[in-house]
Amino acid sequence: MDFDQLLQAAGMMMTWDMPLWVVGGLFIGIFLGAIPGVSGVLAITLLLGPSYYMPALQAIIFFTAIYTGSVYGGGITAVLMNIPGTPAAIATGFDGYAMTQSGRHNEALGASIFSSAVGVFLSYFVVLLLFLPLGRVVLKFGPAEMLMVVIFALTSVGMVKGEILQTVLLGLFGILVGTIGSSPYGHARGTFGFPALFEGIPIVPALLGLLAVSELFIMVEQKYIIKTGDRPRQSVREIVRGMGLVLHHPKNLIRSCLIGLGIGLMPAAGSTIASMVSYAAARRASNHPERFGKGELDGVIAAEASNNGSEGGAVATMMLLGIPGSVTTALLIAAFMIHGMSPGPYLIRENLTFAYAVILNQFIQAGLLLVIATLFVNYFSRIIFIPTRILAPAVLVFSVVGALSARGLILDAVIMVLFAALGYTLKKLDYPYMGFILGFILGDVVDREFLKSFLMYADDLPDLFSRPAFLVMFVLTVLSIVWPYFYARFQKPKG
Amino acid sequence: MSQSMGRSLLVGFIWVLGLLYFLEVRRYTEPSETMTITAVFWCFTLLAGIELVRLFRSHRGRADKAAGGAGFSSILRDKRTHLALLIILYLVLIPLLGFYAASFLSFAAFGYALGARKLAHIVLPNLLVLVFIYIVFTVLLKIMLPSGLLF
Repeated sequence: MDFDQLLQAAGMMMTWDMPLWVVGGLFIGIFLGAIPGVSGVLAITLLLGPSYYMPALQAIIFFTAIYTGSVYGGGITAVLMNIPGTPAAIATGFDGYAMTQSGRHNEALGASIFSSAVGVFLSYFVVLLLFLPLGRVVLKFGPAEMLMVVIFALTSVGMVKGEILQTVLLGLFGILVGTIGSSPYGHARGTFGFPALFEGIPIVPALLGLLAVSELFIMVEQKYIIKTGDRPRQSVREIVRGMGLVLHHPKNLIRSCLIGLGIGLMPAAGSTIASMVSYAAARRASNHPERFGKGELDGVIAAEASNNGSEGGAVATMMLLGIPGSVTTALLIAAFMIHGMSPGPYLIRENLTFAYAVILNQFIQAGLLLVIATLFVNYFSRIIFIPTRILAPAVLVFSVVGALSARGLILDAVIMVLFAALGYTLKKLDYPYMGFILGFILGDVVDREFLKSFLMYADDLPDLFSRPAFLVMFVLTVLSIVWPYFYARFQKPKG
Repeated sequence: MSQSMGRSLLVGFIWVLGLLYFLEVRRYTEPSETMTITAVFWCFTLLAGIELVRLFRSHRGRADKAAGGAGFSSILRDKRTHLALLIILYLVLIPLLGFYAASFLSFAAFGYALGARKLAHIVLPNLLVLVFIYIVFTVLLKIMLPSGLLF
């Protein structure tokens, strides 16, 4: 750990407005995280445009606070109504809702809040310790390794989604779209005569279309996000008592945080898988596995500590390698790029203090999450009753503002609509649109690194395999492609 | 339309877009301008071909014939059609009326299309959102949003 940089990072956070961004981000994240199908992704997408006008550190911290809030927020409605706001909260509902049914909802809410906060805190603490050693390894990566990292990210997203061919296909299309703009020699590539596209397809309108406006077409098919539901009353005193109960389960808590962190570090694995794996591990380790699913506190602790713990891993991978493991981290990369920073080796080399400041701030976020979630949990659970006749037009207007805010060009709003059509089609046809987003965001990186790799190794291709990092990434990529086929083969029932 | 048919059309469509891009880039003589696009395009073509063959086989094997397209009148009644038309109208109105006036009208029309009938339900949320945008984006962040005939 570089203590000088760490102190400088702490100094960077000492501004009067920093706590406001954190509190605002947590509120927005928890509110939207509680709404099924909406989540923090929508909030970050809508706010990417205005973030042009925010200082870089404030913008990134605001977005990570939304991320933290939304991962936790999904658990509130899972506990109270068995309606997970996000897929990552499905495992929370297994025991959380069973506890609510037996009148222990405050205990479950307290356990979920405390486990979430500890998940964030512990995972980022480990990230803080390992960031520089891992960063030094990443700094040894050359263009060929970086290119391999992108390919590995695409294949591992495909492996997790179970559709490698489709993910890589859409990823390659995304790379083509991502390279539109001026060439290294200043010629227009793929602009089809529009001078405004000379700078490339603007990232904010494209993501707004893909993620926010396309979702509107799905949203308008229903009157309310959720029609009815009983919400038991909450008591702050009982919630605090529930928090205390978590301390009686330290092994489960720490194990779940570490599982979350480990899974979060892998590209594409994410919080949903983390919570499921951790829930299964807690059940296996328990003396009373038969109680799981019937209101066992350990189930809530395992699910919430791991899904929030995965955030630390995902953010670390994003900052160290520059590859997004999920849509949310893809949006965080976009936010870095908007502020002229490129996550990956460049960030470590040139903006290490900035990266430390982002990590350090997560400890403040964990503390504030504890306070905000405890005091306002009753209000957060009401958001899902908002009618779509209000929510959908508001999302549309905010999307248009976001698209126009960067350059004020109507063309950007048109680009947003075109990408919305693409996003809606991909979602309707059940294609893994994450592959496209990954390719689109990393198109520029692929263009640059491919060119450098070609110039360096075109005459001596075998030399590439003498580089350990390249070899490791190559083997991992091949494994991610062949593993599902072998797995399916060995899983087939005999006879 | 079956899903495999829809997927085939999408893959064909994006491949044509990729081809147009590839043909445009081929005009350049400098390898650094064309190399990545060429490599990515050929990999893309290979995978698109494999995907189309796979889709063709699954379409033939499953006999999931098209269930008959939706009638024109049902498409017109579909809320998604209303949304698509409203978005296009919204984008046309922004340069003419200005962002705020166009947004007010579009918000109201969209709310109405989604079932809001009381005046208060149409106007109040609309005004709240626009006042919020005005304060945050125009006053605080000083973002220049398009202005037109009205505001």
